[in-house]
Amino acid sequence: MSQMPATRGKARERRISASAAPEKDRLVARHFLYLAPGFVIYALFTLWPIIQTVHFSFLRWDGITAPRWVGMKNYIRILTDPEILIIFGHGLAMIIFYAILPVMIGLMIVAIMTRVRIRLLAVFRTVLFLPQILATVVVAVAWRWIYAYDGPINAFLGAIGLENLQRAWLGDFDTALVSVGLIGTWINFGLCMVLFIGGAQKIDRHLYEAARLDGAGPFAEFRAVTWPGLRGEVAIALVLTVTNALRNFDIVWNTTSGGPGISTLVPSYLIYENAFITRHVGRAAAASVVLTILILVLTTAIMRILRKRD
Amino acid sequence: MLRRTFNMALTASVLALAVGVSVHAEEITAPVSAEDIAALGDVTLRVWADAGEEDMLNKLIPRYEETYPNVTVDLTIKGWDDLMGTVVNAMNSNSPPDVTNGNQGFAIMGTMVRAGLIRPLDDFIAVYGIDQGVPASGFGSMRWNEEGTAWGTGNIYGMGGATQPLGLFYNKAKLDELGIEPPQSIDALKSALASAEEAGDLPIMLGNSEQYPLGSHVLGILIDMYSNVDEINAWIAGDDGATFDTPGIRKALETLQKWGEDGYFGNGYNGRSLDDAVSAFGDGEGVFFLGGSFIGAKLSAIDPDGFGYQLLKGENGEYVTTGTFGTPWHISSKTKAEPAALAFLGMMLSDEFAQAYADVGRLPNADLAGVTPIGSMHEQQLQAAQRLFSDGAFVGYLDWASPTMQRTLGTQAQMLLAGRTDVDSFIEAVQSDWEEYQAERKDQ
Repeated sequence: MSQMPATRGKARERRISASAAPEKDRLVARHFLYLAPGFVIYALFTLWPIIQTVHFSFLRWDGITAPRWVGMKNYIRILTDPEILIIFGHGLAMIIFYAILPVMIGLMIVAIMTRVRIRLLAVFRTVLFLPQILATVVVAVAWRWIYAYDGPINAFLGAIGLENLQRAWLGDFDTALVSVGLIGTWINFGLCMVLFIGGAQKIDRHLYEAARLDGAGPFAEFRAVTWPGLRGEVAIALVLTVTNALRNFDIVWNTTSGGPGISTLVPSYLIYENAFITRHVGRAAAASVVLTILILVLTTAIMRILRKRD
Repeated sequence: MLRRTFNMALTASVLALAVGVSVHAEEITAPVSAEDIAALGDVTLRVWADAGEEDMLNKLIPRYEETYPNVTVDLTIKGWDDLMGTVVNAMNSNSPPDVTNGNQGFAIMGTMVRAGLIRPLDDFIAVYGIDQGVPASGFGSMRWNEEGTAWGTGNIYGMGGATQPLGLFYNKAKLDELGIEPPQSIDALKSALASAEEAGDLPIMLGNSEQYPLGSHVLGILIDMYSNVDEINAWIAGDDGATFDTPGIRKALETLQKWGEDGYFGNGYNGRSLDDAVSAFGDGEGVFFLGGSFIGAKLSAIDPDGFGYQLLKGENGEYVTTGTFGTPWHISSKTKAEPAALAFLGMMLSDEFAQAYADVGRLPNADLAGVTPIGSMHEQQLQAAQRLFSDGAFVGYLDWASPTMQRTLGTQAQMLLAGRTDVDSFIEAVQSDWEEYQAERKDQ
């Protein structure tokens, strides 16, 4: 490249090629420099713990004294112990209550709102969103009272002559899981609703007018206008709430401690007990890895399915 | 590579730990003197405690700080579950509490002994005379082998301040109404429960939403009634060949099952918390309450004379119950204020301080016979504890048997009463938990 320039065009070309390459390199290096602080924090507090967790999952370790390598033993235990499988099953059941029901309720509210003008919308929205911002301990204590044997649900059942249905809703093998799940529904539907209202406001009003002119009823209108317009929001809501469902811990902790029997034990609770109470850190780490993979698979599937027909 | 780095870090920390242990392993031959503590200069003594100790500590700390003005006590109070979930890691950190509450059994005390996190207290106990006037058998659950894999013999690593025997609480007014005497034996209790049920009262107040105390305390008391004490203790300690399948345990489980079938626990007990149950019992709901003496402090606060407390005679005619020297206290092997920590426990466990325990409704191990009760129920509790100290033997808590036993027993007991398991499957589930842990323990 030490040749003299022959023509102007070549000279310009040479100038560009001679200066652009190092300039480009410098720029790339500098870009990474800007990323570095964020990346260091991310690596330190997210990536490194994940790597450590994966590593722990192959150990038998009490968290304190010398660990021992046990290979896949912790994973085999998770996949073969019927009790642990039931516990993961409870985690999946929570998706119905934490994700599917709230999304359906949220969609229903939005569908109604697109037909009927609701006065005091801001107040309505705030009140329904409130459960989302309340401390979960407060929520749990309130619901414990609602579900208690001498609580309002049983009082109502007694008042209408259904005494035989009265029970300690959180202490009964048949109703505990559903009762805990419905608390999650109550917490999460506000979030879904607010997401969907935001999404619905972006939908062009003309589409509704067009649909109505074409004689669409409420269902056809929802299917043709509201639903396609909300796909993105539904995907986000599902990703958030499914994650929420699978890592549910605080509500169970503050209402049933996993009981009665193991009827409300969920994966997070299992992880906590193994890591801190029974000091089986390896088993806890393995369960965390399985739970993380489960969440990744489900959320990826949700994004894929809901994005498909765009 | 990663694994090697990790192992190196781990080796380094284990080495550091070993060095730490050797620095502080000096035994004492005389009580710590005021000069020893003054020589520390201005120090802070960090103390972690269970919420149940708060009232006692509120009396101890001012007294201690007045005696040793250069020491400031930094107290952290934690709820039981929170304490159990954090204490081992805290003691393993570089800035552990100097003094802390722990718990007997493999998961907490065993781990701390194995990792060399707590200081052996044999010298302290001998020098301060803590073992005077208390039954030697009570130290069984505080003694560990050096590996931290078995308890019952070896160095003493902890000591509690107040004994906590499980027993039978009763509502005096209700017993009067029913015209029955406080039951002294399991058979008398059975007929009293039947009378209460017939009269339309709730026989036993229970709050089991945390899967506790049905599978641990209530069942524990019943097992004590029908069992050979040594057999149960051997099983809890994980002795070779021990089994949960004994005629006594079968009988206890059948009794529990029958009590459930007969509705002695009323409705909705699995949805009620233990605290709520104690409050409800204090408000006059239920005739009997089976639980630990620590519940007595709460009942005394409601009405010091309205309730009674009784140990029960088992089938063999002897008073027997589950109990210990209470929640153990430990000293960190890494403490930089060891004299201050020793003096703190020394004062807490002294005869002179015993009355302070009694004043908050508890049953001090020290000077048990000398303290003045705060009410008639407290007096009964003190007498029961004395009886246990003089000629009873301590039965351990069943959940010490394995780290997962609390959950297994709690789960199985709820299932038994809900008709979702039977006595055979109950025993099998508990024994298989036990066997799995014994294998794990041998492999440590």
